Amino acid sequence: MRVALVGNPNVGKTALINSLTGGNFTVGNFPGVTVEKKEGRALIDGKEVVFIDLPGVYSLQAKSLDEKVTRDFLVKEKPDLIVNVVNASNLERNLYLTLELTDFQIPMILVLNMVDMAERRGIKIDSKRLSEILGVPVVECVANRGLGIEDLKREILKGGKIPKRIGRSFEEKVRIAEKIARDVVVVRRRITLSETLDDVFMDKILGLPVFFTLMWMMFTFTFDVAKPLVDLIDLIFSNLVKLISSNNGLIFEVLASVVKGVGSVLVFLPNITFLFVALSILELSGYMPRAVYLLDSIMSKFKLQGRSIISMIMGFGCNVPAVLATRSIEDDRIRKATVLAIPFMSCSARLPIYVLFTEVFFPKSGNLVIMSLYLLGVSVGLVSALLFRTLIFKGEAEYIIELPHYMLPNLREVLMLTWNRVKHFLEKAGTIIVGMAVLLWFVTSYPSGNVENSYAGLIGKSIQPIFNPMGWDYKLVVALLTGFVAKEVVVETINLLHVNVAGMNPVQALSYIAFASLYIPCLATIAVIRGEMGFKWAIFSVFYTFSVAYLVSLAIIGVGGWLV
Amino acid sequence: MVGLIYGILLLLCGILDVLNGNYANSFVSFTISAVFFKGFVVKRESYYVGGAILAFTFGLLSLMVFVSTYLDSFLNGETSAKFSYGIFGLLALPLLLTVKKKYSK
Repeated sequence: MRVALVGNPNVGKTALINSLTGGNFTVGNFPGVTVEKKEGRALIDGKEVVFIDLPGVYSLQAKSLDEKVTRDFLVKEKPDLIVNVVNASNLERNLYLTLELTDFQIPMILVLNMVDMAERRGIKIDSKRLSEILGVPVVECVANRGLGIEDLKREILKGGKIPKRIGRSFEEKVRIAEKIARDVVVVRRRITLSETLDDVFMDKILGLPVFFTLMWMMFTFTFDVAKPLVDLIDLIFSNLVKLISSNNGLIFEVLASVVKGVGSVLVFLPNITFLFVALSILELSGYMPRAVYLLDSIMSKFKLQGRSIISMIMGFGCNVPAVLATRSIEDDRIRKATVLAIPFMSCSARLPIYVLFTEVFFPKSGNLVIMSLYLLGVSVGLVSALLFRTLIFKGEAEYIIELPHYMLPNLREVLMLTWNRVKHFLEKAGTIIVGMAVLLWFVTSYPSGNVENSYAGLIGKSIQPIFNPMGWDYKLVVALLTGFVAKEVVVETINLLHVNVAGMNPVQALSYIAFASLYIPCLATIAVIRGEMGFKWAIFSVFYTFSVAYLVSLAIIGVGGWLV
Repeated sequence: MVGLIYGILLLLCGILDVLNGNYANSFVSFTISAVFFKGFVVKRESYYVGGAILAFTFGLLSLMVFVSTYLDSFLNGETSAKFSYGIFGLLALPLLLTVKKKYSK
């Protein structure tokens, strides 16, 4: 039995699929598009039921990609049952989609979710009357607490009922939705905690400082709190590499290289996990849509949306989840412009490069230089996005932001959401890194044992003339090349090749770190850009970021040379 | 009055963090302090609720940072930890519990 979960955004469909399947669901994409698809299985009284969580939509007019995917799924795949999830606190708005779903004449069950919150707001729904009007079973639920799930399972086994077809045109359906809501909803208005909190979080003056406060807390949680785990994993992998390297033989050499490569990625797993935990809390608490609203006016100057800044901020942690997070941007043109701007955000892996050079060249103003590099990345990213939106992904975009109620996130839900995202990251990045570790070992070990005469050294020497205007040594070029695999490898290569960094002048050093902060995204990021936008745009991103980085470094050399 | 007391407390935390060169944490403390002060000026309880949530979260985070940086330095054979005066945000717990009780009725 195949059951499609359909509903508006933020009505708790993910919590519902979680409760119905016991967390046994996978996250993937719908065929041919980058719209996220969650699919889970459950055995209900011995019968296997497959649940498909369709994207959250307000209507089925196929204007946005999400609406098109949902509509196509219902028309082409014809599920056995539709479970229409509705937010009990906002029945009227949700009912418009319900009335559109009646047109498909597929058996349906209506789930009134978050009834506890509705009751707290003084809203009571006559579900029996609603069921009579629509001609389908109506089940009251609190999905994130597992309430009403058994009733829903019983109704699913009964197979639902084909709904009465109500309303023909858009206007008629809107009118009928209003009338039904008036008939079945009884409101005894009370001021809720959610409305109270909006006074602070949406305050005209304090809203933005509160947003930056929360972002800073998220970063502190991601980096400082996760640090002992990062060091522990690093220690384990270093010892493992030492243990493997103590044995002689080709197989051990390759194995040590693979373990080192995989370790260089896994070492950041705690950061990524903590970042996702923080983001899941912000998302599930209902704060994210508020942040989007607060930042929308700033981002619109660059023809982006408030949602873009969330992905860009995530890019400071790691570009890979940041690119994946753009999926929440409904407009495809804005989403693509945001994806291409993200590689300019300085991810945590680039920080060691900045620290290495600033300690040598700018010991007194290191923090200022590093902060300037972060601002350089943001500025270049925003200007690039404006360029892409003006020249390539043209067109105005409108969107609706629904402000859901604040909720205390459920720990199980936070962990489940985090695990599903981390798993996705591990699957994608892990496979590439293992392959590249073997390749890196080969190019730095052959044809001769030392790096200088290896393929990597030879490639570095042949590419070095491109960087002649900057006056960088070929070994520094090799380091940048290895940074293509993962940015943290740059410092490792510099150490491995015994590069005398102090031999550069400050202008050369500044141009080098500026280049490192802007140039080609790492392989894992390229892989996800390819997944989100296709091969052509992944290649474009490589060339575009390289060109921008090159021009900026050249400008630094030019201006610096003129000033000094 | 509660807002004023918490506002002053967080303001002091911010000043102490500035003196220690911890500018980002002081920004957080100043923001939370501004939330409490606004509540006091406009006489709206909602700002105390928001301020209490932010102050307690920041206090908890500062405590977590203190413990984890201590553990981290211990792993590296040292004994040091990152301290922020924001840890005093934990004192907003009584206010938070009072608010929770009120709204869960």
